[in-house]
Amino acid sequence: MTRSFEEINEKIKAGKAVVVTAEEMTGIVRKKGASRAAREIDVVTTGTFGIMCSSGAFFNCGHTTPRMKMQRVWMNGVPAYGGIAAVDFYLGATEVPEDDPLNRVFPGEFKYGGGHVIEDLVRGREVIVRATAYGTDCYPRKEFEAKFTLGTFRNAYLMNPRNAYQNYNVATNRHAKRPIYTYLGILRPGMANANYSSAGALSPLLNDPHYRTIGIGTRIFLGGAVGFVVYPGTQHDPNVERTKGGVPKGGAGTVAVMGDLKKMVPAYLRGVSVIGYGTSLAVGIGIPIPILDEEMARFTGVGDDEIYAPIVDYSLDYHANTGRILGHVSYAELRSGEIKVEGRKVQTAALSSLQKAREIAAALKSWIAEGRFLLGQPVETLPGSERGARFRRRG
Amino acid sequence: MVEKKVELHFSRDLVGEPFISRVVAEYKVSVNIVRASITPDEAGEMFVIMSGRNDAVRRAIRFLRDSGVGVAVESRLFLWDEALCVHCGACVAHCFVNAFSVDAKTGKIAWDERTCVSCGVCIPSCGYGALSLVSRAPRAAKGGRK
Repeated sequence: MTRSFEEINEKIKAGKAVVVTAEEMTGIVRKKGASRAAREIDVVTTGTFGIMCSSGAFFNCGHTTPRMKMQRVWMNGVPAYGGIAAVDFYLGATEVPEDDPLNRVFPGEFKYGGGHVIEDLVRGREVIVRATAYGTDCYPRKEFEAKFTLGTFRNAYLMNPRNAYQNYNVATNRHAKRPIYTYLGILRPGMANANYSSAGALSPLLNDPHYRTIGIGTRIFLGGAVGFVVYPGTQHDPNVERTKGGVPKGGAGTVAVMGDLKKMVPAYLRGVSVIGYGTSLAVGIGIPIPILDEEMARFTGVGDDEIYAPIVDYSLDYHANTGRILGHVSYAELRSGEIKVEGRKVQTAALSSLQKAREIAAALKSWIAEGRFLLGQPVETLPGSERGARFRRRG
Repeated sequence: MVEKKVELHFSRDLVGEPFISRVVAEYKVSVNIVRASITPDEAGEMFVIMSGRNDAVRRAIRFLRDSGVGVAVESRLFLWDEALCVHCGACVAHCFVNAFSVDAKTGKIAWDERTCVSCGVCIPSCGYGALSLVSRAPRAAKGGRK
């Protein structure tokens, strides 16, 4: 049994596509088997919502009178990068104001940064854009300051170079005698807690572990609107250790995504203050997986008990880049609230929202079922795990 | 039996005194120290839950006040703002009375107001500003209430 993107899209247009979420698919495959599931199901929807560094937005504020080639740009006091063109600039999620106290009084609070500016705009709030320039014959203006709302920018694109990591570390603090403040949250000493951040069985790339259907041009749910996978994400690395089922046992694939910020909603795009670390952006992403054949049914049928994540000591091995791990643990165990590490009970906490991941998968499911969202066939799929590729340690 | 969430403020000169031991030994009030920040030669503060017989707790609080300790009873109120919450669960591992839980069915975070002791330990774990402590209006000094 095989079906093509075109066939699935015809069914979607006719309102006849059978769409289920990745969680529902796990149950279906376990009950009926991959072969029958493949015959019955056309599309499986996934979802994830979590803090995703390597996010940001491109803006074009329209030309000023007289014209100006903005060199330095600030949005609500947060520096944006203006070295692109006259009135184009990029605001990164982790950028913070120049007068932020940072970690001088440790742990810093990082109350406001690029991620928050993006959330403010999506909430319909005004943002002050300030710019300076050196002036040229064609762009004489040297200073600019004005209030903008999202609607008054000529263009505003969310453009995230690395999102939706296919699996990730479980972080714990085995070594330090004090709480440590990481991008995976506060880790109390003596491995008092272990934090993880993946939607597990609902996570997009874990449902297409070899990237057979995802690549440049894949249409996705991004921040509550329609967006696209535009390229492999930075640090995309298919050549990692995998389970027999093909599921990476650590961070592996990533996607670069893009979409129209003006259509996004704050429920799926939130600025985050990570104590002691910095600011970031929490992003909601959902990718539809076409069930092209039985193998895709088997892949999307993956459950939390079949996905393993490495436990990493963030008080030593992570920052020293030793590559050492304290073992692997399944997402079913992580979700239970307690895992065992070196024989000790460790409380777990998720940084990725299961509830929002479910909302996203359900929203995408209804968009497709209602014929409002067609699958985008990739022009090129993400680089896959090449046969015989050398296993190498990731930097 | 009553249980009171009490904030204690010790000025520099009081930091060396064993107030808590006296409250326990002399007033038969049990004291659960939720959070304490006391350094010799510096002012300190403590957040405790005092439980015991109603009159015993009242007398213990009067003793502390008479000794010059700043006492604020049930003064802080913890707030969980569900509109800002993304239901991730980062707070769950930071609550030692387990006031937060994850509903396995919905994946939603639930906060049990009755279990919460308003200590505020969880607040830094939330990156979305959904957790906060608000101070209740300070009660007027004894006898000054209208």
